[in-house]
Amino acid sequence: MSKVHSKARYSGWIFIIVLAALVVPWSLVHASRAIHESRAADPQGEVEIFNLAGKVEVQGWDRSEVEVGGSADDGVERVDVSGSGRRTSVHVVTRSSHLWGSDGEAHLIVHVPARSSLMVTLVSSDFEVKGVLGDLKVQSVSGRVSGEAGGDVRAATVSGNVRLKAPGAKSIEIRTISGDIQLTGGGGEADINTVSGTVKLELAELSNGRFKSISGDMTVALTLAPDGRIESESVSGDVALNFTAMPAAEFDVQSFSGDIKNCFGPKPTESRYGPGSRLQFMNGDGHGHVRINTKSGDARLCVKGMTNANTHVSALELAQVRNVRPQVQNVGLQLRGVRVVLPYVF
Amino acid sequence: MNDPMQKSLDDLLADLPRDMPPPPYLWPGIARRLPRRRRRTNPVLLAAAAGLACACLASALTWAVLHGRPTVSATQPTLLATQPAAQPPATRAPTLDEPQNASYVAARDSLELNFRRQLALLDPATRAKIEANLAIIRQAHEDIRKALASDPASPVLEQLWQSTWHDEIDLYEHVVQATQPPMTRT
Repeated sequence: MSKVHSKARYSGWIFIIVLAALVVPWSLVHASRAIHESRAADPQGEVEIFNLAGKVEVQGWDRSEVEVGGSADDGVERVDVSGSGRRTSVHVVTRSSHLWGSDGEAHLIVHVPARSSLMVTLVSSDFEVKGVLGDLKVQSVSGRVSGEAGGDVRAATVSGNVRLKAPGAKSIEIRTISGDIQLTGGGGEADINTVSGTVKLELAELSNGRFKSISGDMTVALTLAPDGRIESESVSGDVALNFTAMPAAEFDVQSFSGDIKNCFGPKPTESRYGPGSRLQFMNGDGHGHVRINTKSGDARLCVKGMTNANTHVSALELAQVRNVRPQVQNVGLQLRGVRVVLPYVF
Repeated sequence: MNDPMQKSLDDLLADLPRDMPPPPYLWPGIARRLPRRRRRTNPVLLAAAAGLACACLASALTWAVLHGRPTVSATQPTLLATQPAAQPPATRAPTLDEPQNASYVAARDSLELNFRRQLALLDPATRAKIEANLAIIRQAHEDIRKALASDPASPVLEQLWQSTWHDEIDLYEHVVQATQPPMTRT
């Protein structure tokens, strides 16, 4: 009996030793090696980075030089740093790469002149940026995109999340399939499109905004420019537009089976004979346009400081509006301005 | 005049064959040098073909308009009678249905094929999400179609109906664009 027991104990040890013998050389094969490359670069040039897997961290500095540090595993053959004209290129070359994956991972720390613009192409590699003032253009499949961009932003991922601060952006374009989008800052023009990702945006003054989703929920905080135009569409995702100040605009909100909730303006009109509801009104001078269209998702319109949904403009709310926009003479205008212009009968 | 030599030459010339085709190895070179004669198209035939094409296009358009317009059931005359004209008819879109002409259908099929091909490259989790979203769009489309059948005068439903098939096309385009090989994307 004890002989059987000790045999089992020995076989356990043998298994562990064999496993260790297999794992140790494997880990040595995949041991990382250091990277250090540098090249003089245009202080306002374009830096192009290509990495399949791993991570890329880009930091702006005050030198006219691109420096690439970090490490790479054995699957990475080399890191090419080349340049011509205003463009510097950092290209991670793997031994065997295929389109949607790679055996070679590189963790790059790239220093670029602070006023550079970036053009980054990744597959599963994550990306983080800080201290770069130029425009950012990034494409990734499953890699996450994060950090702070100084200029305009154009990002596209399949499943990678995008989490950026872009206070200086005048043009923002972000597209994902299932990746979540979280963006703070930036105004001017924004085009956000996702299939199922969750969208949370805190934008400055927007002159042209387009927000589209199929099933992802979208929450957008913004200030509408005097003649700004916002278009938001979703199928089953909820859409919430939260204005930082009472917008002077024409509103057109419609939904098939979702709820329309608004903390200013009139009550939405519901279809008399079936599903479908619409809210259409003009607020203030109405130079701006806000349009929301959902199928089964809820639509919500609100102004910062106002919380009650589906209420007509009351004296109390107007007092709150006055706090947001401290022009006392506007109160009367607001009161006159809020009017139903569409008596559609459903 | 009676030169025997001359006679003999005439006779010899008369004996020569009237036509002599060039040897086969010479013909390609000759053919290349010959000026290309443009085929003249009969203008009457051209006009008839153009007319026929216009007639087909007009018929297709009419069919699409009539087919796309929600049918009014016999049970709803009172309902329609009580509906005030929300918009003058002239401002209403002639048809909100998905176009059915051959070029559109071909383009859509090609896009869908491309979408399916690109979809296969994605990881199963993302693929499942996209398929689920496609199902959401199609379900919404079906729900709206049913609602529109029972409330054909609703402008909200008409607009939702239109945007739903756009959603499907947009989804195809979105996926195709997002899955282009990284270095070839613009």
